[in-house]
Amino acid sequence: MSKLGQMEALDIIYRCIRKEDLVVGNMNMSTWCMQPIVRKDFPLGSQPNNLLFGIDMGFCTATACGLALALPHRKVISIDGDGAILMKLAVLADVAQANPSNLVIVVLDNESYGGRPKEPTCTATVADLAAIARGSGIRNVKSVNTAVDLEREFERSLEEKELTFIWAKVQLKAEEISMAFDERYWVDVEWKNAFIRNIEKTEGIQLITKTVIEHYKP
Amino acid sequence: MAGRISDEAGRLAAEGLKKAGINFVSILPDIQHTSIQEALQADPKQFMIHHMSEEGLGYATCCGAWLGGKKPVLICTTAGLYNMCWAISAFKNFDFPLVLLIPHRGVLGETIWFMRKYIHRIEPFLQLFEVPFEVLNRNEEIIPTIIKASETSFNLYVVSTILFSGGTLSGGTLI
Repeated sequence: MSKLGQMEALDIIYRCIRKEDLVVGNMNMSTWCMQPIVRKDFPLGSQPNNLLFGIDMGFCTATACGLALALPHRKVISIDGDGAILMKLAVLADVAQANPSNLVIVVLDNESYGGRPKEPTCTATVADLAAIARGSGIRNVKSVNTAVDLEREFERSLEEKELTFIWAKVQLKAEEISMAFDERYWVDVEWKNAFIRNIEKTEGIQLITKTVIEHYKP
Repeated sequence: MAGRISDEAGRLAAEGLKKAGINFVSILPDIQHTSIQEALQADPKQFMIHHMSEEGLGYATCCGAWLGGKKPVLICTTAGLYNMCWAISAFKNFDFPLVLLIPHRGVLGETIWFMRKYIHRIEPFLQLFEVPFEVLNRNEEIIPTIIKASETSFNLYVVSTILFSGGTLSGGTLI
């Protein structure tokens, strides 16, 4: 049985998320593989407004946790990577302690840095992220390695009101790497602005101030 | 003089944060700033408190909280600032704002020998990372400086930092 592809996994996640869900994605392969998927619906120049991608290694799940704590009525999804989560493992204990019931963490584990098998992470050999998540205090932990299992567990996590950690073993295929590294797709900051405007609109709050306008008002 | 942030300074810091509209706190518990932590915990209606295990993660959590409409503050030790350099660099891409409070160790009056590693390094470190900061020496400065820092952070989308020093610190012991 062939392994679950990283882009295939992201495609499943993208199809399952609802417009009111907020998604925070790790930089590197998660971001780069997500962009060609999203571009089918959003040609360059337009942006999805509930996906914030490009968060640097180690900080994706913590950022998602802060968002989930601030907006407990919204589902927040963190799409993290194996190398990134290993870099800052303490986040799992911090998240477990804060216990936001609206947060879903999905780790796409391709067992390597940048999807390059010659540069393996510890999950390629010894590290068991599900055991680490459980040991950190997260109770709802799932391990998946097929498309069917990922879709089932991810859809379930969107319905449940419980902090969830999904560990998905994936494989980055050669054709996916070439798509992911197409530089036309790298527009992370535009995604951030669309994300902020979406939250401002849907939550009725103001994140970007208007002091400059007020200052120059005649 | 050197040591932890005094009880009075901690109380004033909590008051200043409340006046500035800060409502999300990420903190790594430490004796250097227990006074602020206790003052904040006494007002759970105003402050949502998140305990973190590493300062960079606290920084990221604050960024997420800001995206959700909170006004965040991060409170950490002097060492925590060093620990956070990757987060400060990484989030430059996004311009997320927050206020940072830290004790200014290694200045004249310091009595803990291993605080030597901070001498002449904290302020250049902040300058290097283009972090606006102010050093507090007197309790009377605490509330207005926190309000100023908040205004700068949330209008310029930067990490404004306040260094507690001089008369805002008390005691030279660790425990």
